[in-house]
Amino acid sequence: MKNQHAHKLSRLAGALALAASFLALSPASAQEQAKAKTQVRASPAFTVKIIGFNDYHGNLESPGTFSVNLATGNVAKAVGGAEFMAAYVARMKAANPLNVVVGAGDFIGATPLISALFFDEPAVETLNKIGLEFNAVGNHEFDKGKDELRRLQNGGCKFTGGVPDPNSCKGFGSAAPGSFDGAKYKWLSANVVETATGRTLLAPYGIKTFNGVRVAFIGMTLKGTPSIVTPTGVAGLAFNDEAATVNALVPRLRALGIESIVVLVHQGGFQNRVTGDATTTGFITNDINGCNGDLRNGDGSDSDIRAIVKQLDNAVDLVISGHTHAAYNCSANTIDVTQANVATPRATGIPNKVGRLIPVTSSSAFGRILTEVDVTIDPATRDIVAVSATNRLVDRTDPAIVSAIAADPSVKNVVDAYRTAVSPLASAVIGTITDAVDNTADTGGMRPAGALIADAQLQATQPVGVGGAVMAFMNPGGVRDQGFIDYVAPVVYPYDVTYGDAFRVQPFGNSLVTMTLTAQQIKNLLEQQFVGCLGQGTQRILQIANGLQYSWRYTQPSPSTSNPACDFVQSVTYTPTDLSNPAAPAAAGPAEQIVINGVVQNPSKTYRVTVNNFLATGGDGFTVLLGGTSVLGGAQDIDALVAYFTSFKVPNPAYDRTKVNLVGPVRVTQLPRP
Amino acid sequence: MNRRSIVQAAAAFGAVALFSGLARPQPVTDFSEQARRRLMPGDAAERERALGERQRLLDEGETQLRAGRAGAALAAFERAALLLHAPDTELGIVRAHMAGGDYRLALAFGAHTAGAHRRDMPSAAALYAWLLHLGGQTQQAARALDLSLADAPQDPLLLLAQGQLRTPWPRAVPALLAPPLRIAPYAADLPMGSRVSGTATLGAEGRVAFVPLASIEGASSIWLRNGLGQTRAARLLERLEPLGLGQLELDAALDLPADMRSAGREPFAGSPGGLLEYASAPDAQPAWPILRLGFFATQRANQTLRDLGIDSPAGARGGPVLDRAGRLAGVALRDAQGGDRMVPVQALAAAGVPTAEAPPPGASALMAADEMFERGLRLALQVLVLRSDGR
Repeated sequence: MKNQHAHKLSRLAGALALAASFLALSPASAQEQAKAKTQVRASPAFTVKIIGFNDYHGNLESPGTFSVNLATGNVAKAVGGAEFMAAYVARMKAANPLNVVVGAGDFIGATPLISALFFDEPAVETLNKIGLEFNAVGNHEFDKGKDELRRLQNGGCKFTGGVPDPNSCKGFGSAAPGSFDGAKYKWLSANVVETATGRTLLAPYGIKTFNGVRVAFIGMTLKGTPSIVTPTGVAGLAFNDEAATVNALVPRLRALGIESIVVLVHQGGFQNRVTGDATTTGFITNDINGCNGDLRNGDGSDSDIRAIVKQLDNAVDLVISGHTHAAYNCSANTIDVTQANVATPRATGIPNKVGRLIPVTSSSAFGRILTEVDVTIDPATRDIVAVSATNRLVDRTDPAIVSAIAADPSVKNVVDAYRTAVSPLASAVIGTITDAVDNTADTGGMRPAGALIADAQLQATQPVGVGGAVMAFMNPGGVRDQGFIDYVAPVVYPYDVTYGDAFRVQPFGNSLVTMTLTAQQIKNLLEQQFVGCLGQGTQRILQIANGLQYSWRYTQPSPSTSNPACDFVQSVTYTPTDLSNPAAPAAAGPAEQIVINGVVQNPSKTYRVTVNNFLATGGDGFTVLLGGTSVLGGAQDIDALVAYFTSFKVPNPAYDRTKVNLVGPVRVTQLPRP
Repeated sequence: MNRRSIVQAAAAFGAVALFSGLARPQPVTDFSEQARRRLMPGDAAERERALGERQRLLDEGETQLRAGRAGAALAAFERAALLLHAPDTELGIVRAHMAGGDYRLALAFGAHTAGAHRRDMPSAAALYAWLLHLGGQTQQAARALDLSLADAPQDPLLLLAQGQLRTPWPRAVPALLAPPLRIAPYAADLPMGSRVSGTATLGAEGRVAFVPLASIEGASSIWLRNGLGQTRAARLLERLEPLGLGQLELDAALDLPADMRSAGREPFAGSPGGLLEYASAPDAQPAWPILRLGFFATQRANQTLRDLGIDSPAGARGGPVLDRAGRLAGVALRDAQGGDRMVPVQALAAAGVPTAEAPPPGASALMAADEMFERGLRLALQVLVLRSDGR
């Protein structure tokens, strides 16, 4: 740190000289200056947390396992995944409200299908949710050309052949379906210049202010980018020398009062055993926090990143690098690892133009690792005075992180949605409908889509081995979207319902639960649909399967819909109905009056009833279901739906909701108020 | 350390560069001298030296692939990539990933190669489209080919690939087997007359496999080969007549996919699943399997062999059936009437046959098709037979 101290002292001397000249010109102000200086001096140094990573390459899903090093005995752990990255970032941020998330490029391009198929919009959307703020462009950012990069930065749908591409604007991580927000972070391209204008393609740097001190992040890609991307992608662009670009920006940033400068560069190196180097003569395995060979090549020559850093102006305080997919941490926190659990600290860094050691990090690739950097800033000099960097695995087995994701599954939901959309099954036809099976309730409260879903759930659980159910209840809120309809103009029926359509209507991945309820509990369940009854706060008419019918009425004068007395339900009739062939439901026994004029006829008689796991755990206020017994878990709701629709797939006749012999008589009837 | 570990380790620690970093291209022979100079600054002698070294690395990569050393092949191709950004190098990288069982990495890199080199080597898209198709992305595969054919409508390799991908059982014809494209793994030679008779499913410990009895009837010699090209001799250990399967013992274990589990219960009707199969063939040409996706049929009472429900064109069966979470649900079989059935792993267990461990209850997230296919590379085995009667 000697050199660093000298550098800081030099800056301080400059500042004092400036203050002195000011003093000479304005004695009155000098007192204020002195006072201000005293105040500044009294301000303690503070820490900012910089969270960095590189080469995400659209890895929404885990890239597999990874180990902190290759020492014998180290066990590789499952790592990565956008939701895990987000959770780790959130945890790091929680440790220090002064924070920033940055990247070193190649966050798009050469991506897995889950991102590539959708033009890397999923990569951008998940990075938004991870909280990325500044990111250097990498060579792969230019894979599809500068115009496409601009679209990903600014948002908007992709057009193919002049029309919107069906794989664009899925919007699972954007504001709305059918939209793409674009990157909420700034791609930085300090050394990428449009030759026609002389301006940088994107912003050269970003600035974030902490406790009144501004920190600059300069973003760049390797100058050799044109040779490793398709020429049309970089036509009209010039890629300038990395170090020269930074050094030219330093005076500009200083003129803005900025002394804390971080470089995000998409160029890197490797840990190497260097022939004849004392630091690598013994066996030192490459650790994610190692700096084996100090980023020199095996023959002792400078790696690309080392060559760049050696030319950097002394104003640069930290370099976050990438490109090679290697993990290294060349800083005061470097460790040499010779075997599992044996690490020897060895403060390192890469010498800059004046020989000061600059911390240089890289976090492998694909979201395996996050680099957590705590930089200490002296508010008096506005400069970074200490850097503490640590590479940390994005460990998918950390229980606290797993819990955090369970508590906030928003990123996971985006990944899940794209995982489903990327499935070739999304376009698989599962059945045909003659007309819209929509999600509009009739006067009783039944919805055509809800009825179909309830029938599917009953059919799936009717066999004794999988539940032996005789009734099914579906929460209306679980029937999503507009139901099963042709929603793409021109609307044409009969319509082939796809797996993607089904997923849109049943997106929650709920599983079916069959339980035993008494007749009284069934009556109570139906009463609990109404406001004021058994703690229910919102009227929710459950969707019921074929075989059950009931009537209800509001018991209070209009407009009241509430009645704590719980006497809405007037009659309930159950007719055993065999749905083994969904296209031809058949009565399997005589009708039975469970409730007559509001009175349960045989309160202790039991029935096997199917609901989803949301309802089974008291969801939507249906606490009656918590009293169910002999509970048996089953298929996912969408599985049941697919199996049901199979009976209406060519060559079978299409599902026709107007056919009474298919859907049965009116299931729920609202009676006039008394 | 197995090959997969080596590949992962190499990639993990940057022993080799996964993506070409430094400048310079070079020559594929049809690169113009002007292009060479642009991509490879320096004097002509230096360029020629670099080009020579690059060619040596490409040859080494191909040799390592032939020898089944995916990690070493990847290292060689990636070093070549550091010398020149060129599609032939990248095709080698894609195939090295496939040889290491890393389909998803291959696909990610293949997407780059097909897109970035769309104009300088249109046929590169053939490998990418082929891999997409095998992994169940048939529509996307067709689209990738169409895009490249729009630029190069007469490209013979693209046209060949397109023709094959329109058949139920795509097969790499000789023109598609030449490097750098080579749309197939390498594998050890087998005796003249051996041929692919169907598919088998690798069982517990990687030492046993299950195969439809029909696929090995009359065979005097049997070999099994996975999608990485690793081949093992096998012998019939037991005939499981009621199930229509034979249990084979391998002369040396093959690696199971990491974290491979059996389904704890039979899949629910309507749930998604996948079937992996190889095409039968009159020769012993190595190939990658093909994934068919669909939905499990409704389970009928008292069925040992369950209706499968996942559509697949006519052909031999025997491949692994995976449930929604990528767990082994059973082995595909064709019954006497030609109907597609599945022998559930529970039926195998009841017959005393060891299968992979069942997972703990709970987690059953939908596995993406590409990951499912990646599992299938190791789990689905080509069945190769030699008949004493010469048939």
